[in-house]
Amino acid sequence: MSEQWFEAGPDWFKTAVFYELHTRAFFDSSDDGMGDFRGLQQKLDYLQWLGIDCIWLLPFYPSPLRDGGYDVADFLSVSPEFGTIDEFASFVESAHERGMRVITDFVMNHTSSEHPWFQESRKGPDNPKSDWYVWSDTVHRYEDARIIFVDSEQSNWTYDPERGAYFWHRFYHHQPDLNFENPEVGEAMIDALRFWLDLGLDGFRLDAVPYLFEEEGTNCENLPATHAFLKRVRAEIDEGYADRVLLAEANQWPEDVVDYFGDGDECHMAFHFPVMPRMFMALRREEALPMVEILDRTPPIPEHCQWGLFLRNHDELTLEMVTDEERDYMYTEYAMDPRMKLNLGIRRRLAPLLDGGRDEIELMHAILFSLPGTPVLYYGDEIGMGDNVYLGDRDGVRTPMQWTGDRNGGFSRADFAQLFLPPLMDPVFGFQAVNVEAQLRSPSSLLRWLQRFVALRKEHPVFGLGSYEALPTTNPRVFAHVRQHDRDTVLCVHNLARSAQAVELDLARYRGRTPVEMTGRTSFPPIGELPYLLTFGPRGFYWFQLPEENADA
Amino acid sequence: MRDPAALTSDELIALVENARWFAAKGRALESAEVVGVPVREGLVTLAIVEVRFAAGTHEHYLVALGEDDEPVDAFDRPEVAAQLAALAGVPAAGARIRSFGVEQSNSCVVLDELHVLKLYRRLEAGPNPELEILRVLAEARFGNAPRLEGALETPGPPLGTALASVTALVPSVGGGWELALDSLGDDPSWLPDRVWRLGEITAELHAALASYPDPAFSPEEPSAEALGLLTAAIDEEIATTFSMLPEDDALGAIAHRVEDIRDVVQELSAAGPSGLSIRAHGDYHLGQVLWTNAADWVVIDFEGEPARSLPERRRKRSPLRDLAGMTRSFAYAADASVLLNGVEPPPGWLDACRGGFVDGYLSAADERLLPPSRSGFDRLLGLFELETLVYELRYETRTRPEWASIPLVGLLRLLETSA
Repeated sequence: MSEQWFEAGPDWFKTAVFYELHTRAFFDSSDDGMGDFRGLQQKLDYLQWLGIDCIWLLPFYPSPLRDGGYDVADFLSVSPEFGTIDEFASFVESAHERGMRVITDFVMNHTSSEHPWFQESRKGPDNPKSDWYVWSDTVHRYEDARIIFVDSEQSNWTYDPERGAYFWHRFYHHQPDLNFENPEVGEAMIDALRFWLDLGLDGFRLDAVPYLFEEEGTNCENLPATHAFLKRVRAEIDEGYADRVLLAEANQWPEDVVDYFGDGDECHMAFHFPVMPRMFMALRREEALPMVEILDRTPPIPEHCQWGLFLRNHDELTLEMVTDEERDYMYTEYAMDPRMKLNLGIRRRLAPLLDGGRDEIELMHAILFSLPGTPVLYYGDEIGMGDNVYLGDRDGVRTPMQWTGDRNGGFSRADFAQLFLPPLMDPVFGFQAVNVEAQLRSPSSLLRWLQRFVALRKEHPVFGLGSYEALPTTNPRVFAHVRQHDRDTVLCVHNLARSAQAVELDLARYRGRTPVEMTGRTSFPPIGELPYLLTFGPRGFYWFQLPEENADA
Repeated sequence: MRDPAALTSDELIALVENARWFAAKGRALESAEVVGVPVREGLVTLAIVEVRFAAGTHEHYLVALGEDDEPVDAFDRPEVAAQLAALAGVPAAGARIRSFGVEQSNSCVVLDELHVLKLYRRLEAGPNPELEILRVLAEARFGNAPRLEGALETPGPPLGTALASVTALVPSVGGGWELALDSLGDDPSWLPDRVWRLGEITAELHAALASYPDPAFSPEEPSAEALGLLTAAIDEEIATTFSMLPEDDALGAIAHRVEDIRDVVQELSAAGPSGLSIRAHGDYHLGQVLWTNAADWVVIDFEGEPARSLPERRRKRSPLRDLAGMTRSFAYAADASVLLNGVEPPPGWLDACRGGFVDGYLSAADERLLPPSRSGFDRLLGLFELETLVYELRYETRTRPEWASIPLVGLLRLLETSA
């Protein structure tokens, strides 16, 4: 029935570039101060130009919005402030027409306390939804589970006077956890997923998946029952739909996260959380070690699976998966103002984290794009947008997209006071200094650079498909590795230092090959007997293709 | 015959590599494989060949395999073509066939002087723009395009796309390109006398495409950043093209002036509002129009520029892009006349063609599709002409360097007028 817009290709997500955005913050087509689906649709040409393959939308479901929409009050419709379900379907169709796929956040673990299911459940033990949530007469159950939102919650249990019992919640106390022990809950979730897939959606970013099931005597994370349920979800989707993707949000150590791939029969993708803070650490310390170590510690994953990699996203820069010492270091270096901290993380955007340094931003993107995984860009970071630490929670990194230097940054024609959040107006990162229109016009802008860089990565599927091997270097400030897929070999070398550096690389096994620098297609001296010498400017990097002898590149 | 899936990579590469319609000439091929056989009926076996490049990307091509043991393309065999037409809904058993012109990216034959059968060669997932547009034009009763008589499509997998189409043959004196060149020899006023009408039917074509009530066609107000996206795309194309120019004395005059050309882009990009964006022809030039026996123009080949991706070809853009394609084509004809026939066009020929064509267009244009002021119109047309010039430069230097002087002269002329 539906027209097919893509080649059949179950591994499409491996060579794709993802782009994460808030419908609310992208473009307002109705002049009410809030972004909407029609606005989003009008900006698809921009995303297509940028080279985006897959758009990831943050939650757009009806919600009391006490957790940025992750507190879902109805899984089967859209929040009216974003438009209608028809407008949503039309947006998805337009994206498909342009060769872009769309995935959306889906929250399985919990609902808003305003969800009708919870309202019914709390009425007492006799109603049909009584055990759709996790109820208890005591708070002394599952005591080994940590509290995640340490800044706002004291316990994972909250007393509900209406039911006269405690309910379980791994996040906010207004987000009760669903009880997956009850098979009806699992069925309801799968029905909801089908609803969106039938509308044409290409997959889901599964929010907070480690916490679906609870079990006494465990930390209630990554339990076997949780994996079994996810495998069931995967089987149901594979059965009815082609080329869809499940992207797991499991903020865990890589050796635990790989379980979410199963044997290639669970999630297609999972975020690699721990690599991200270590990239920032490596940059600050001017040494490759933190990245090399975490990548060494990353187990191999099944063939048709992929890591999701990112520099920043809609949440705080999470520091859950670092040591206490590393966390102190990150706070000292990247969160000088205590307002910048949130829970176990730093609530800032990429550009301000890097003091707006263009070389640093380019280097971090180069490293991100060179690593084994699929890069996920966060809206606004492509133009170097800033943040506003005076806004509450994570709103500071969710301000309106800056399209032009005009009123409200071109985001909306509503009165300023009507806007859902004020756009940035500071002299460095505000919309008059940082916007799409101006950067489109300037060939040397960050936006134009990134567009070229996305195109470059996509010309070379080796970055999405290839193996990864760290190269030992004579200089600890230089991060070097080789990616290989079939006959395509790429050497990536990055100088993390803010000073010029030199490095010698042992490239003996590529002797006789002539490295071709990939951005300018410049041939470098052939690899000979001696270690290969490279010199770099501050924060400089090279990507080389190493074409086999006698093969024309 | 052998099972298409059993054909070896080498056999398939040999089959596509030297075909005229193979778009990736000169690129290093890694391997090829049949990934689908959407049609296997009687004499007709259509196989989708995935051609993989050294860097890991790939393209899909459609081949019509013959009955032979050796894989050969049998599209132009009468019995194969006739059955293919029948599969597309136009019975043509026993039809006499002849080949039809020289098409760059697809294959065409004429059946019984009544139908044109086209086999689409380079396949991409998604609706075929030519079929989409011909259907819309038929509905809009636009009289200056061939009538669509039948189509053969596959829902996939591996991809949903059109495989072949049949249109009614338009009896014509010849194609615009040949007629323009021939007439420069004996009747130089032939084209200038007819460009006004060409402009007029072009405007009618755009109006028809802009009036169709379907989201894929309805005119759109370009977004605030549309002109910025366009300029950025043209600017990047210029940078890439110039960085890949071969070392060549003839190119010396232009190769070092890339920054000047990019300055012109900046200047022209201040065109102001551009008018509504619509689906348009997309690859408009003299080779895409016929002068019919009934003494009128007919527009053919609505697939868009073969070098662009399907989403790009289906994108709504300013109709002025079509105008730029045609005005550049006049310049090409003038220069080609010298290169091929040693015939210098009379002074003022090019200006007469361009001027008459633009005036004819403006006389019938839907004003919603144009910049509101004449100066805005001229700037935007200039911007698209520059885009076309750069595309020509890249194409010619890559495929027929002896023709590269044409875009070179055009670029130098542009730099002089804007200096």
